[in-house]
Amino acid sequence: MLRYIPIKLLFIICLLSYSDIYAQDEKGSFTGGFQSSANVFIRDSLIGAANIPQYDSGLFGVQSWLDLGYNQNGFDLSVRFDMFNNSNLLNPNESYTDEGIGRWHIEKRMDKFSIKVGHIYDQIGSGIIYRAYEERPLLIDNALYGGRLIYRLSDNWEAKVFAGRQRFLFSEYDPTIRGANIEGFLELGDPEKGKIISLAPGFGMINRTLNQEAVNQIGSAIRNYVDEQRFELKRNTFAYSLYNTVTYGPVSLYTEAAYKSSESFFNPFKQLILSNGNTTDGRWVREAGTVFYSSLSYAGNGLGVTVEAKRTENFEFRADPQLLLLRGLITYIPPMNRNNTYRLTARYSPATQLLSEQAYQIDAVYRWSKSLTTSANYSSIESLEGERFFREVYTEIQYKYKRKWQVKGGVQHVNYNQELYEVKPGVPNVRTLTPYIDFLYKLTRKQSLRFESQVMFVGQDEKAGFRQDYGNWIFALLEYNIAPHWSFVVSDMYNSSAGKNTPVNAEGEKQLLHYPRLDVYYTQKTNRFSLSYIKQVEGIVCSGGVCRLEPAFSGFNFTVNSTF
Amino acid sequence: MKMKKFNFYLLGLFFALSCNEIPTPIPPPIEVPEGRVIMIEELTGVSCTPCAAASAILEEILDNGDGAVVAYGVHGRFQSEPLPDSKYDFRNEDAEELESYLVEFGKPAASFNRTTSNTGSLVYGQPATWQAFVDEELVKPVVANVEISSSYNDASRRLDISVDVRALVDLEGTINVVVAVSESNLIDPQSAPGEAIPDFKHKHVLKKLLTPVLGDAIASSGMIAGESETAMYSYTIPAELNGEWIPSNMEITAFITAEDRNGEIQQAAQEPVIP
Repeated sequence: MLRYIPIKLLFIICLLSYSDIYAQDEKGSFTGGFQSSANVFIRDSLIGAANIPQYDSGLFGVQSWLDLGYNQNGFDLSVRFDMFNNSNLLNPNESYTDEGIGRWHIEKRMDKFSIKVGHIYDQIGSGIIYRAYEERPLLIDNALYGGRLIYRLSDNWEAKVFAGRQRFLFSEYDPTIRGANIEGFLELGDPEKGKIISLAPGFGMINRTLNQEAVNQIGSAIRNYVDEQRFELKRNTFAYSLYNTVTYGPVSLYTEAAYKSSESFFNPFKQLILSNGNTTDGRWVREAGTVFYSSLSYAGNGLGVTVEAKRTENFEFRADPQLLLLRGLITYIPPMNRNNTYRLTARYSPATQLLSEQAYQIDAVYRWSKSLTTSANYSSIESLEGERFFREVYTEIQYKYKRKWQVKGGVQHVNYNQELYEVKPGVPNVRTLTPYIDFLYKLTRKQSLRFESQVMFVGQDEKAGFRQDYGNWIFALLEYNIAPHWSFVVSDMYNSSAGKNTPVNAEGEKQLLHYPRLDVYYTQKTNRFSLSYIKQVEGIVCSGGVCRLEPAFSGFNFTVNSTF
Repeated sequence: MKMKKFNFYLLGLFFALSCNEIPTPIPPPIEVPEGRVIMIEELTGVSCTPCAAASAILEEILDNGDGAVVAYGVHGRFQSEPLPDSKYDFRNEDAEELESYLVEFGKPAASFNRTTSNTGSLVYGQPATWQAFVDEELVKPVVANVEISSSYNDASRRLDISVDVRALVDLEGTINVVVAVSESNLIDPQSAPGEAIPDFKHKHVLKKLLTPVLGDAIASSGMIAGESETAMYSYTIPAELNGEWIPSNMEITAFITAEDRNGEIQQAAQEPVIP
């Protein structure tokens, strides 16, 4: 059914654009975007780029998205075509092929009302009780397939209600979701005296109703539990969130408290008593959950400081509690670590934990002069019982010399619970120290050269007799830009000192390998093309605290990004 | 003022709603049709940390099934590398091929009669939900009987297997039979949260498929109710080595699939190599 509705939608878009010629009102406009990524897989069993269908027989894979939208007189129509052809994006160990209309919506904005049906992206507060969004690199697209009504109560207050089911690829999960949200904006104080406190409060709720089949499936599992581990089954779960931003001059404080009513979910840390009296890890429980999150920031006089804190308990909240990994997530809990971009400083990133996490982060930036800026970041993530999950200390100093050159450098220290984040049993926390430098030199007004390098020193795994994980790394990158069209990048990541997981050759000897990469980018107005040759070690890919382990990659990648 | 009242009522309504649901009763034990036997193909591995707990859940399901559920463990290539202290390497070509066929993003995972999940996968990745899929298969009617008879020659280590299939209803399309040999009671390390379990008892480890993954055709144009077919296989069990390949620990598993029923397993059987 889903695949036929958008055909009608396309027809409406065409009709509207045609009628635009005769329209007396606002002129309509088309917008669109195209994104495509194609891979050629070249088997390299030494780095682990092997034993999945792409390397064995598939050889090629591609995924593409075409967005098309039309706006006129308060109408907003949109449709997106998705194509996955032998793609490894859904499951890095498997090929996925399908195509069709991945998303569509129709929206009408009126004076006080806004009505939208189709696939809807939205969030309440910071997303803790509800976030529907798209993250293509991780193939997260959990739009709500349903309807939404927004009513503007006044200039500063807005209420909305929505209902539907969560999208998964080209269909939807069975459980239903509905929600309501009211939020506004207030100013207190005397504007003439310049002392104004502004408030942006909000309240939201979500109700998820499981389908009977899902409840029965959980019931089948707990039917065999011993009496003290059984619990009542309910189809409905409610989540509430109260949030507010207070701003006074250069200081801003965001606070959010979220509560989720008792629901059934699988807790891998609880012991299950088997019928023979033995125990094993993991069982279904029925418990309530909470999240408290706050962010305090100050910006003024060259100084910017942000302090964030978070406490999460039992906030596993999905379209269906039987779903795993990145599937079916309703909740989005803000990450509590720096978003690193350099290859080695981003190598160990923590995934947000939904069952037990307490964390804080301090980020400070000070601009000493137009030329000199320094910054530092400290983040700490633990379980509620105090087990260390992640710690990062990051420093940076940046110096700009006129418009001719600039240099950035600093040191990062990470303590990373690899056993938890990558499910690698019995390994100690990975400890790293990574100095880095980034130098940009403008050769001419249009040409520039950028060099970056990082060296990662990794701690010792005493039990294994090697350094932790893959051991030490050296990374270097050289980028040559010719504005506005061309960019050439060459880089290499070298495993300079062997670690426990460093690949071994047929004789069982550790191989210190190079992972080179070559990229050519071409930009033509709003179109960008890239062609890359990549050898990439396995690693964690994260976006906003949502992460997954990506296997090693060897081959070519071609991308197109276009907006119109 | 009106706004405050509105918010207050709205808030009260939401909280009132959340307390107003009659609990769903825990489903009673299911009624298994006489003679029904279903097949679980477990994707597991000694380097897979959560697989130890999954194996415990599988054993619980087998115990509760009381002979109506049979299984083997597929140690393919993913997370199946031996641990540093392992005596054995459970990986083999057949397991790798079967794992490639059943493939899922991560382990543990299991297939139940090779039925397709609502996400299009042949396997289910959450062991805590496996009982539900077992129940769904167990309550289906018995459409065929599968019986294994075998003889084992201790001197030559030759195992002769006969699989008799008798249709109880009309089965259309090609009917395939799959025959496998597995081994239990292999004590060897298994990865687990924290530290590996050094003396984990590995059960039903798939050692050899005597047919292709999708089976051998025993009836290319279906079977009518009451019709019987027999498939014969021979296998020489490798010599005992380091406590492995012990016939008294080994099982024979056989099942049939029906092409016109999405290739799903219709009925299974399992017998020890030495009764």
